[in-house]
Amino acid sequence: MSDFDERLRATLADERWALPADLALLDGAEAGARRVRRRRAAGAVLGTLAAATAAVLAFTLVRAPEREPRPPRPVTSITLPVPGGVARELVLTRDSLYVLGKSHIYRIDRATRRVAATSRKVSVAALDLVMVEGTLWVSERQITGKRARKDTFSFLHRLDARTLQFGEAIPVPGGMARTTAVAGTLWSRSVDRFGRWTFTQRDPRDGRVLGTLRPPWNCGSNAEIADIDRKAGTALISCWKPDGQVIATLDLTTGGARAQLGVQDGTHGLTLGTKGMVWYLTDHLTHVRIHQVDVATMRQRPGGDLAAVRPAPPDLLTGVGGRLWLRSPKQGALTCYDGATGRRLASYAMPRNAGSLPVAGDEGTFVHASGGTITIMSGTDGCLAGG
Amino acid sequence: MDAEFRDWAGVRLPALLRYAHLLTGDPHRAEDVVQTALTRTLLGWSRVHRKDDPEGYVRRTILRLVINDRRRSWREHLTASPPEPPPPPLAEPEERWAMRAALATLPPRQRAVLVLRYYEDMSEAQIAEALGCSQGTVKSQASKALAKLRAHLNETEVTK
Repeated sequence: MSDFDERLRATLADERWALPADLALLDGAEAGARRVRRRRAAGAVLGTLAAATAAVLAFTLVRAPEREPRPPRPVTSITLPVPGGVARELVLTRDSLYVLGKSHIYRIDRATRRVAATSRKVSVAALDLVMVEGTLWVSERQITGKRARKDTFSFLHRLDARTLQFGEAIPVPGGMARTTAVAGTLWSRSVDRFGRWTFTQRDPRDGRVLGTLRPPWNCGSNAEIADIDRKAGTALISCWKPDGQVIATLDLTTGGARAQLGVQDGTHGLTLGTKGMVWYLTDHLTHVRIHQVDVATMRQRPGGDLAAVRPAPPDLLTGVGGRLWLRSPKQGALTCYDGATGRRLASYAMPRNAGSLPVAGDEGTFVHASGGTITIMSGTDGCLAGG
Repeated sequence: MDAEFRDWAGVRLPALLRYAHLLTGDPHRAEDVVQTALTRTLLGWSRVHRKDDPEGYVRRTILRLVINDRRRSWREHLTASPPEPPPPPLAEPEERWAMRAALATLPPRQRAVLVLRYYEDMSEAQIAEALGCSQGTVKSQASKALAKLRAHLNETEVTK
C-alpha cells in the first residue's frame, strides 16, 4: 500500500468525522414514520377510489396526445464561447450579458458580442450574480472553519456595471448566505446555527439593510424567497422544514404565514409564473410533473398541472420573461410554456447531457450556457417576444 | 416494535452518523440523511429485523440517499475551495487537513467509492453491488477519484 493510500485511509479514520449522537434524530425518524403510517392508513381506506381515479387519469393521459406546439417561426441562435470556459451565472440586460465565470466576471457587449470588461479575480465561492436597478452585486462566501454552516459568512460586493470594478464589500452574517434579486428588490438570506433562516432586504444602491423577514419555521436545510407582492404585503417563500418542504406566502410585517402548501416530493425549480401563479416541478422515478399553484390561496389549481411524462429526469424548470422553460438535458430539449396558462408554446434543441445550465433572458431573448458555449436565442415565434 | 428499534438505533447512531458524514462531508447533511434512512428503516422494521441485518439496510439506504439526491443540484452548494484556505485546526495535521479538503471536491459517487474502499474495506465486487454498477465502473471511478485527489493535493502544495 502506498503512502498516499495510507494517508487517505488515515484521513478517513480520523476521529473528526465522528458527530455527536443527538437522540432527537431518533425522535424525528419516529415522527416521520408515524406520518407515513398515517398516510398509508388513509390511503388504504381510499385505495379503491384512488385506483379507479388513477385508472381514469392514466387512460386520459394515454389517449390525449400532448398538444402540439405552435409551429415556430425562425428563431436566431447565436453561440459564443464562454469566456474562461465556465459559466456559473448569467445576467442579461438591454446592452450587456454578464457572465460569472470560474474565476472572473465578464461583461459581453450584446452588439459586438465581445468581452467588454473583465473583473478582478473572484473565488470559486462567488455564488450569485444579480442586477437590481442597474447595480450589479456578487456574493462571495468565506469559509473559516470545519463546521462550515456555523462559521461561514459572506461578503456582498457592489460592482460597477460598465467596468466591473469592485466597490464596497458588505459582510453578510450567518451561514449558507445567498443573494437574490426578487421583483426588483435585493435580498440576502442566511441561516444561523439553529437552522433559523433570515431574509434581509437591502437597498440595491448601497446594500444598506431595509428590513428582515424570518419564516415562522425552522427551515434547516434551505429557504428561498421567490417573489414579493408589495400590494398584498407578502413574500412568497420556499422552506425545507425537517418534516417536509412548504411553499408559503408570509406577511412582510409580521413574518406570519398567510397561506402555505406542503410539497411532499420536494420541488425542483420553484418559479414564478404570471397572473398570480407559481409553478414547480416534482421529479418522480419515471416522469416529471409541473404543478400550478394559486399564490393567493396556495392551492393547487385543479387541472392546472402539466403532465410532463418523461422517462429520464432530472429536468429543470426556470421562469424567464413570463415564460416557463423546461430544460431536459438528457433529451436535448428546451420547452417553452406560457407562464399563466401552462400552454406549451415551442420547443428547441439544446446541448444533450449538459450539466448545470445557467440561464437568463427577457421577453424576447433566452440565453443559456453549457459546455463552454453561450447560446443566445432571440426571435418572434410563439414563445419568444411574447408571441 | 418501536422500542426495539430505538434501542438498536440508539446504539448504532454514532457509527451511522460518522458513515454519513464521510459520504457527504457535511455534518448537517449527514444528520438529515441518517434521519431519513432511519425513518425508512423503522417503516420496514419487522422485515429488516427479521433478516438480521438492520445496519446493512440503513447503510445501503444512506448510500443511496447521498448518491441519488438530485435535489442538491439546485440547492445550496458549499464550495470546496474557499478564497483563502483557512489554516488547519491546531490539533489536525496539515496533510490530513489537505486530504479532507481534497475529498470535498469529489462528486458523491467517486467519494462513496473511496469511502467504501478505504474506510469500509469493501472489495470491488461488494462496492459494485452496493452502488448498483459494474466492477469496471467501480475501478474507473476509484481511479478518477484518486487522480483528482492527487491533483488537488499537488496543486495545494504548489500554491504553498
